[in-house]
Amino acid sequence: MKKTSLYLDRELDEALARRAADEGLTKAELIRRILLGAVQRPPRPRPQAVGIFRSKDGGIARDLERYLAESGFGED
Amino acid sequence: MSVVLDSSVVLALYDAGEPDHDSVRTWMGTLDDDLVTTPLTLTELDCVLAARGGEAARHALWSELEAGVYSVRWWADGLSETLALARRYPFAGLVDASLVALSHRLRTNRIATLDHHFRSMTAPGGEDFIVLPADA
Repeated sequence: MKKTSLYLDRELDEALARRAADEGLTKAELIRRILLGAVQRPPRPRPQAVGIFRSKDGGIARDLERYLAESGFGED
Repeated sequence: MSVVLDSSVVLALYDAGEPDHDSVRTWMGTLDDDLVTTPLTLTELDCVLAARGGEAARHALWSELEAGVYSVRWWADGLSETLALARRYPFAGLVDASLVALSHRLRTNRIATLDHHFRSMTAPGGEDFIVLPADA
């Protein structure tokens, strides 16, 4: 492997360390995987289910908590 | 770059009867960034889509998750961070709090939502959230 040095701001460095610990990796391995993913990854697919249904009483998306409460979400 | 994803935007995208359907569809059609959500939000969305659009809508979501249209992130301190935020913002439930925690984890202040509650909460660094698609 080729050795490379780069400067990171402290917050990013700490965030990388936390993420590496979360995933059980060394920071170097996490950085390698992120970089590999960035150069190899295809663009995110576009959603295909656009307008897959049409409700007759639309307008709940802006207040889902209220809809869920009124519909008994989470109750048997 | 990542955008935190709330269930309201996906519901409006799938449901052509939602008033925000057209604006969400147009915005989503141009977005290249990763759309990332939490397991709590996914559970909410799965139930709402089943109730509103039936099994077809629910299975469409599952397919799009498999295809990588949306991604889900959780981490070791996710629960404690979510609980702390839910206590700081009593008007927000655990689902919304988990999305704020995710924004901190991803270091982004961009959130895709139709829920006005996020205007009253702060993103990483004490910044206001950029609420999408309204602020696009």
